[in-house]
Amino acid sequence: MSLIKIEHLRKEYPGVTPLKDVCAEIEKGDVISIIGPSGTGKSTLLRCLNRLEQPTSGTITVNGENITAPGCNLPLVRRRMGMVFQSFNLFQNRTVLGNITSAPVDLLKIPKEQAEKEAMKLLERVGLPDKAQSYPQDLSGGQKQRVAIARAVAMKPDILLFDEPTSALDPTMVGEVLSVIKSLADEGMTMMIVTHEMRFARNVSSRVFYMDEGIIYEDGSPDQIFRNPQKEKTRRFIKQLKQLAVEIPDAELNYPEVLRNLERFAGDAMIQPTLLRHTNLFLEELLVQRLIPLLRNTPGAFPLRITLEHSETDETIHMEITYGGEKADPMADEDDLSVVILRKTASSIQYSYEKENKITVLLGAK
Amino acid sequence: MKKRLTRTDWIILAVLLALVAAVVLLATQGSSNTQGTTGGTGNAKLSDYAGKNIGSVTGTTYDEAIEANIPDAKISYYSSYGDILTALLTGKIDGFCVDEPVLRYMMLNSDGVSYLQERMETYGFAYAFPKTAEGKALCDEFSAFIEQGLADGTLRELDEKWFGPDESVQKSPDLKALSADRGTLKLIVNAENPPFDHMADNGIAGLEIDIAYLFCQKNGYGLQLLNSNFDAILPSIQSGVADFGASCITPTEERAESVHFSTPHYEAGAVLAVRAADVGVQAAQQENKNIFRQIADSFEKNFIREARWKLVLQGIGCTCLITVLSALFGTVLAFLICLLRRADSVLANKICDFYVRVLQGTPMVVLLMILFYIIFARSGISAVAVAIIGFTLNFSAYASEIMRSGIGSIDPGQREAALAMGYTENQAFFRFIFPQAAVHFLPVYRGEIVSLLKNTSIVGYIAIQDLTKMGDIIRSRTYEPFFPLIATALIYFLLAWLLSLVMRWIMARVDYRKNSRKAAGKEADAK
Repeated sequence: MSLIKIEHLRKEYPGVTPLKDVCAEIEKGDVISIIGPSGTGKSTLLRCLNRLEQPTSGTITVNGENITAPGCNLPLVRRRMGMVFQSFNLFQNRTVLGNITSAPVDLLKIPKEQAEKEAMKLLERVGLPDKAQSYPQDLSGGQKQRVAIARAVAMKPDILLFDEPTSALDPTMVGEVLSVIKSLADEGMTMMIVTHEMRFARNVSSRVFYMDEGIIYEDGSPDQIFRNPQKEKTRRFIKQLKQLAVEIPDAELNYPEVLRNLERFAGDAMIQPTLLRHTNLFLEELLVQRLIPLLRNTPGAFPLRITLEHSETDETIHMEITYGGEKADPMADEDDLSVVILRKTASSIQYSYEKENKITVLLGAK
Repeated sequence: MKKRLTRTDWIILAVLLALVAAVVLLATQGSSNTQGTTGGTGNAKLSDYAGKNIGSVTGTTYDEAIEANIPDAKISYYSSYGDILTALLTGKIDGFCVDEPVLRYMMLNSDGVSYLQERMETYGFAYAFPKTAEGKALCDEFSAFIEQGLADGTLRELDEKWFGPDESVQKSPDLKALSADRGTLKLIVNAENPPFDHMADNGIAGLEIDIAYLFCQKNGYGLQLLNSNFDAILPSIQSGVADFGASCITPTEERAESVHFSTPHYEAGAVLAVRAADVGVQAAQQENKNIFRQIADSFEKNFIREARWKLVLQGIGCTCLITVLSALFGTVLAFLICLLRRADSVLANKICDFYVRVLQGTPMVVLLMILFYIIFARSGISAVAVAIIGFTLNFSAYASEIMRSGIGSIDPGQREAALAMGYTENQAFFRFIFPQAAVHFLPVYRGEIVSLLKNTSIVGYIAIQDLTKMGDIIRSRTYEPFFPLIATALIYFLLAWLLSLVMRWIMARVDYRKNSRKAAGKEADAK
């Protein structure tokens, strides 16, 4: 029997429906990273699991108990599911030690001395034994999040839910929190982690959920999702691709207009200045010096279409230029100065003709 | 390094000193107008005061007399004789209408006042009784007593006792000596009308008290004395708070519609009190006392004579009692309202909202009078209890809003974290949310308690002798505004300061942030 079974979970808010139809089974020992664009219901899914959000329909079964049924004892269910929040949410009026011991003492009725002993062990594991008597407001973000993890672990839950645990942290503090989560994974703790840390998702988790369009769009091992995604949307997300399409209707080229488009895209996609300069140089040389003169008198050549795809992870631009008419290779004349410049600027240029002309260019690869 | 005063500090100091000097000058100028005069004489006529500012005490019929006798007079209303005399001496009004006996008494204490020979009207003073069958019976019994007293000279003896110079006999009668075979009667007076009704060192005393006492003695009643503002006497009789009332009440047709009047026990007349200097009355040369001597005399008169400091102490006790109990009950009630508002009930929320709106939108004086004269009029609850109820209601409305805003300022993540760990909503609220909210709202709450203390100064309206009222009573005896008012203000300031200290102590105890600073300090020491 799986630890958690989610069937046709749906969550509607007035105006938006972040979860349309989520189905999944979570086994004991699974470490699941949930990735996907923002606004696709990743956090909502976690919050529905421990019923901080009320699902609109569907069922969630934990250890064979339907926790979406009316009359379900929520506080008891929640004791078995720890949660770590993006904004830490440590109790401001308790010391670090108090934060960790309060629930075991209040709810599990563990004697205070024993709870404190266990809490100190946990604090040592997260590397903060000297902060036991501090108050949350005196800790750094990374320290707070480590205490929050210790607090959740202290209840000895069946599963830990992490809601973007490193999103509110300085980049310098992300590592210390991730390593604590990794050590928990190594011990076999069942976890679900909503995260934007792709490397972490790839290296630590046993399963990855890619969420999009209100469902678990793709569910697979990290290798499958990161190396060989089955679906186009997943691929684009993993590669962090951003696209620009430009159409040139006729031979009266307005290059400044094209350049403006390119610069706006560069701003959105955070393209490196050098890469942008190369792309601009390449496009202008190709269009003004080669293609427009070449195609000016070719019937059916226009419109000319340019597609740019920027990969943030690789820092490369992949460009495709297509146009109609009969076969016309602008790179054919190897001695032309422009062709030399173009070949020097791009990492690779390929020309093909198959019903229409197509130039494939890669820029920025080392 | 020693801190030295900057140039800005010196300038501020100079301005402050100048301000203090100006205030002192202004204040003493008013009192230096007070010069000794002999009796009330002069050739001025009422018609000389046409078009002038003339004062009248609220709740009397003098305004009619002024209109009838002084053409085009502009009438200003004051709530006590102490105030109206001060207004006259400081030039705010040019004269005021008053009973001749009351003025005679004033002239014993204050030299700057005289009166016109020409009387405005003559009338009697009577006791008022409720317009019920029992009231009528009691009224007839009382009238018979008065008529007999007028015939056999008993009343004349009393008159001589209270208008005479011998203060040692002018005491409050021993109420416990009455047999009370036929029950105890409640007499309500305004104890600011010497020598008819006023505060002596052992309680309310005066001519009208003595008459009532003799009546009770003769007819086998007990007697209980209530003190209130003059405006409140007739409403108290009508609503049954008191069995009869006095305080130089003049029977009029209008009043007779709501109460029964006894046979008048005193024939008085209304005169126009004016500044002695205005009517050319020669001021008696005062011996030249130095300012410290004057202050010492004034202090002796206002606080030592007739053990008036005891009145002040009683007033402080009363003010503190009302403030502390209202704050305690009000806080508990406010907390309950907060809990109700958190409850998942639209109706409870609406009711709480309505409650808070109504109480925040009602002036405290009005609320207090509604409670005293309408809601609890016949319940026999003491006025102090009514005041505590009123201020509890008022304070709870404000305190619950303060608490609500404090709770609202707590990050919702605190609640979510507690719920996610398995705490119930209530546990989350009491363990984590409210303790944090308290730290946020206590500073504002402290201010609200101090303003509650100051607001209690209006309880004089429902016949409670709190600190402010005691100050008024002393002023009405001594006709000196300076010391009673300044002392009252000072005492309020001290009480507010004490309250603030207590609240600070409480705040320090609940403030976890302070513990955090301590812990941080310890850590630093360890290193």
